[in-house]
Amino acid sequence: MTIDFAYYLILSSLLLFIGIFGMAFRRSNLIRVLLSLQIIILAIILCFAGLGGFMEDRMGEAYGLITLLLAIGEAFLFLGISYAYFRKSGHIELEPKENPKV
Amino acid sequence: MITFFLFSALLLIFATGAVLRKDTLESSILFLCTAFCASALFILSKAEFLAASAIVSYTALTIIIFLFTFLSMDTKERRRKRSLLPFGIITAIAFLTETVLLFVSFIPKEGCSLCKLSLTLSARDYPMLNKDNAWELSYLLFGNLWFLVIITGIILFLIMLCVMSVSTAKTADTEEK
Repeated sequence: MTIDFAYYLILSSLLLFIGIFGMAFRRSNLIRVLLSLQIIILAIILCFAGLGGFMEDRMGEAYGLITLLLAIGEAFLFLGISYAYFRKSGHIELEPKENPKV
Repeated sequence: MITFFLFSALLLIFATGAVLRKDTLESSILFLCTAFCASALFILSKAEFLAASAIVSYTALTIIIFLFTFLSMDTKERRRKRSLLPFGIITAIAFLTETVLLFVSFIPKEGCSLCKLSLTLSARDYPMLNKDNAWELSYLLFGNLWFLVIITGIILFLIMLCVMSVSTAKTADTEEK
């Protein structure tokens, strides 16, 4: 049974909204920003896969695979930048803690 | 259809948890669960190869995030995280059992021992390789979309060079020392 593409589109939109919410309002440290970014990209890949399944074509899966590869590359680039930031500042927090634990 | 809605609900719950949790390690675990649910949805849309690639890639990414986060913690926080060890062991046993079950499902029906499996290993014996998903995808990637694959490869190569140069670059403190 083929699932309607509209369901995938709604699900991708919700996932995209969650990722953008995380990027906009939950920027406590670099890893959280990375996870929000990955959730956004996951929404895009889900949209591609749903389109491929609905059209019964492998093109959506192929584009999803290429997007996944680029997402993983981007994640490792982000981790490299995070490592450089950590070496420079000694932490990965973007916002200073209100009550730092001693 | 029920499976689709079940995994969709789980996907949204895990993604919300990954964004809203304060602890970074818990967030990364929830993100891995999100990736697993997304892979289940990929399988429902008949994209098995994409699902397998997503599971492998995101598991590797989560492991590296774990290591990085753990290294960036101070000693007190690390000691506090030791209370999560039993849950970690239970999760590891669950994943190990799942892997063993998956491996056992690949064993041909004629010979059920591991020795026979290693001798009779061929594409014909694997039920997964009998499907034409991976073959169709490879024909598509290296046929119609070959330019996109090459561009992706070049971008990944550049990313690798950037990561190497960024992570080995000397900071001002290092130069002073």
